[in-house]
Amino acid sequence: MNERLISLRDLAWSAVNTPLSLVLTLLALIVFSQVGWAAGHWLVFQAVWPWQPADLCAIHSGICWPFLTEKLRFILFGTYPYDDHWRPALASFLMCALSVQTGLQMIDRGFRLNALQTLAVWGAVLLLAFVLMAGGVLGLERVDSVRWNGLPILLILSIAAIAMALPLGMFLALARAQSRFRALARMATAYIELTRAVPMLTVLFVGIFVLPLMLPPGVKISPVGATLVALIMFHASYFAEDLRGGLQSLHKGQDEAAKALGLPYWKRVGLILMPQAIQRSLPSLVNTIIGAYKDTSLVVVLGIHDLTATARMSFSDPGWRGYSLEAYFVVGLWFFVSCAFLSVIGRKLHRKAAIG
Amino acid sequence: MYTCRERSSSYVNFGNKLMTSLKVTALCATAALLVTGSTAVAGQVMDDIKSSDELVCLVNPKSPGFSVPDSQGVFQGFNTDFCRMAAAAILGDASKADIRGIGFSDSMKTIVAGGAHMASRSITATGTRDADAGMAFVATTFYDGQGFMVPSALGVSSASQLSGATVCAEDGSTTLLTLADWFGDHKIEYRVENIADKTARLEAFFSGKCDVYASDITALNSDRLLSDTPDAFTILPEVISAEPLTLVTQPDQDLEAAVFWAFQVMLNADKYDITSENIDAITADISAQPKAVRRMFAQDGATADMATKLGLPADWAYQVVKQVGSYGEVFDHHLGAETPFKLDRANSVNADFADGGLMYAYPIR
Amino acid sequence: MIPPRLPPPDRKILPVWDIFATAVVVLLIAFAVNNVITNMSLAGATPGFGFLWQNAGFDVSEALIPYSPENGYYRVIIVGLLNTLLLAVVSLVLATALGLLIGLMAVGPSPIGRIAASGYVEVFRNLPKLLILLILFVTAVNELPHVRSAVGFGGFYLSNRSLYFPTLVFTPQIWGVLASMGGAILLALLMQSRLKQHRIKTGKALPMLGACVPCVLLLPVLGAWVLDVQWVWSLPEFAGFDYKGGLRLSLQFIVIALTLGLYHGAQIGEVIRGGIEAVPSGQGEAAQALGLSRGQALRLIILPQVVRIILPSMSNQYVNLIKNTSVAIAVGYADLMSVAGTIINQSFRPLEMMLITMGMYLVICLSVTMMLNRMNERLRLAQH
Repeated sequence: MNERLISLRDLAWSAVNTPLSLVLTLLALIVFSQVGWAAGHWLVFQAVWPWQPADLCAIHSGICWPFLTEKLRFILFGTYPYDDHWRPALASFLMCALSVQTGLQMIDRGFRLNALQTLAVWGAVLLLAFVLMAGGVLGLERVDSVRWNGLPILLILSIAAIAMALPLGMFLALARAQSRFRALARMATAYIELTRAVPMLTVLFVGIFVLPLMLPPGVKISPVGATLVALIMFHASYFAEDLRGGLQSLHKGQDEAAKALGLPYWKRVGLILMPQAIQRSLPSLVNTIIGAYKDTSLVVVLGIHDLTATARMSFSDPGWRGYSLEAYFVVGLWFFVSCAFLSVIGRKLHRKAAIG
Repeated sequence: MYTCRERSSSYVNFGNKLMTSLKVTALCATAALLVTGSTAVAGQVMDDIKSSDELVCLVNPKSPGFSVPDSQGVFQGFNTDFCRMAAAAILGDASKADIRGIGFSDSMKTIVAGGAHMASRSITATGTRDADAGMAFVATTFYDGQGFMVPSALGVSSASQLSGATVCAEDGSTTLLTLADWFGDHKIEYRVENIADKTARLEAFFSGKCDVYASDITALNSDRLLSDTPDAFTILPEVISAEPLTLVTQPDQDLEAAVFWAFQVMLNADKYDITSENIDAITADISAQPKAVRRMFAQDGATADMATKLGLPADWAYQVVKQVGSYGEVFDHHLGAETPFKLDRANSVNADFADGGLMYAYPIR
Repeated sequence: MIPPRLPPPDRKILPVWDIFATAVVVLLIAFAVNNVITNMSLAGATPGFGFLWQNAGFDVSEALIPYSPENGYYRVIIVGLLNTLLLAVVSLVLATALGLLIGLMAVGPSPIGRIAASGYVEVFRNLPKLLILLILFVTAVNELPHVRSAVGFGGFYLSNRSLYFPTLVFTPQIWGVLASMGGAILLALLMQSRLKQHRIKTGKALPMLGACVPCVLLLPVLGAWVLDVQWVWSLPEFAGFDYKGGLRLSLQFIVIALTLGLYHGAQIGEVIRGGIEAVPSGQGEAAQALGLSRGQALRLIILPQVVRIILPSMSNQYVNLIKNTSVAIAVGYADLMSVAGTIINQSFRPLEMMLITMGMYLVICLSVTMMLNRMNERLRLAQH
């Protein structure tokens, strides 16, 4: 903590210091103890542990672990054929592992791969995940996308949407940032501003309800496919704005120097401008990615059975009604851990950007 | 046990009313089905089922007793068994039904778009729905009607006393429209809570967030038993709509016929007390059986003739009963006295016609 | 070594990309429109907005304007829109208040406050809003008392159904008082600009507050006295199934507002913390050196700068919050989005309904952005 901040704090607080500060401290303490008490009560003192019989859950008011041991696989993989659960498990593991690796790589840890290698590995893993889930080759039984439930569909939707929205976002950012082609710039601007001014749910509804109408009669699109298209179209605008910020922050000399070297536009963009713009907008890109990942849970409204949806289905089983908090606890824990990891990466990138 | 009797007596009461209102509808509907069936395309969808060796059947992803995934993620329930029935009849193997849980409006769209072969998810057959190209109502598996459930503590004995009450109902279904119609017609003020998710809706009702829970009577009966104190809730005598819950298929004359008659086999089996347990004994001693049973299960029976015409396995009727069971068996297994829902079929409209119900087994000959 | 080349001279070139992109977009739209028309005619419908005047046929849980199922779809859309706006305004206030509290705590002197603030921010930044909403809803429904044993406090009644509270009965006289109050505020604004001119001319500041507060307060009191207002309160009272009288906020509304307040409060708190920390401390020291009191330094020097720094992020937050009111669909609050969803299921008019819904959100969000941008510009102008 440096001197500067403390003196500022001093100033900001001396005006309202003693009574308000006291009140806030007390308030924080009260909230803390209340939340702590409730959490301890639920998680520890009233908990029914996995080795205890499930009947106890009706008596104790805490977390019912027998429910979770019974339903955990269902929450994770939903109605995917039970004997083939290793497939979604492996697919999820691969996607998680690679996400962690890429995150670490951004803050200069983990394996060092260059951009091309990263792309190649991602492509391979996504393809492998898809093959594992869908089957139909290599002796794997075909499984319809309606049965891709729980964790893997959450990961596939968010990762595939982000992976495909990024290039589209780059294109939109470039189209908006240039001034040579007016109509193109205007169209990109209109698209970005329009999608950013409507809720994600409206875009998802368009994907599910309107997109099938827009296809020629007879052409079908699965709900998962339609959702994916909607997610890509939506996130692209946000990425575009992040990248545009990066592009605008570049010194003009960069482009001019590249021009002076006689590099054509796409080479200037691909070799000089975009890499720097991405580097500069990484912190805000990571923020957008966290937001996109969390918002993927909204697909539950469309009847896609992601992690939140399977959690809700798990306590619809007549034999296990009323354990909603337990199921949500699993989902919350997952999101908390994964988002916290991404947040840490984001914060490190922020610090790096502030120093560099 | 005492309360149970009390309940069943009120259920008979409502049942009689429901029956008179429904009987006409049901018979008309069946007649209409047979007429519209003849205009459909023959065989294409059926061929698709056979060539993919799989029957894609849509169910409600969250409907306790009717279709809900167990801990292994396999759908179980009354409605799912009609998916299995179709697979047993057409493919000879009930496990070849690819049962998928899908939301209400999505399932209709999926059928219309050809993304599934059939749906067994408590869809009410209505005129406008049937008028839509792209889906066919085939056989009514369950006769129901919309009603109200209230906590007994409220002391309400008729829906006309519900002025000012808050009603929980399913968003986006006909329940909401029927509700608005009924309260509008009776000039009763009410407040509605549209909650799309069934679990959330039930939770809201049991915890007293709403005074009244509006749904199909059967659902009311089964849902009530999901409460910790089922006796604390009463179902009001009013039945405000007719809900013939019907199997939907893609329009295809052969498929419609196969599903319709497979269902009739289940009804006939019920009529003659044939179950998946005793069917082997019955076929072993087929010559001693009543003629109607012989026509169903004998190797040269009427069903074998139908099989060649519809392109079904020769022993399709046997497979349906063997692998799925009779109508009564399926009913009791998922909704009957041994289940948490304890539905009393004998005293309901879904009883066999001989017992005063609407389940009228068509002759197989 | 690449020989140095002059950049190509600007000459009139054909805007190939413009033409190409326009053509692609036009073709795509034509293709989509054509398919929509074909698909809808296959289902026996033609695109159009005539259905808006058909009977909606369904009821909604809460409406700010009179509504019955016999009204057309257009009316239920307006009901949804108003519900969305109300929800947005209330959550906005909640989120800002909470964000301010958290932001100040995070830079405040109390270490416990700082820990609490950062813990709160961590939790609510790392959970999806939908999950927060669902958990809060389940907890509220199960833990709050039944309407018959509602917690009452000074005319407020909270149950797992709704919050009821007393409200003034708006008699014509009260409207009169409100009108006089509006007049007084107008007068005060006028006076303020006069005073400002006076200050610019003479360099002397006149006691603005001293002059304005009395007249803003006095005029309505005078009005009330002249009109002989009867203050009639409508108190919620239990009758039949529920409370009657007073004003009602449904549990759904409260839970969603709370969710958005908590979720965006965490983010706004971060924005405010960042804003405060970004003001160089020299500013405060300089203000003190000039002899300004601490309160004056905060009000005149620090806060304006903080506001200027955070305004772009805040406008972002506000627009996001307005958009996020649409998660209401998950718990059945009759906002624009869920009403649109019901209408789509009922009428099967997804294209038309989504055009209307998106258009409405667009207008709301763009006007809020524009308003905040204008504020931002004015602040920036005032600075220079």
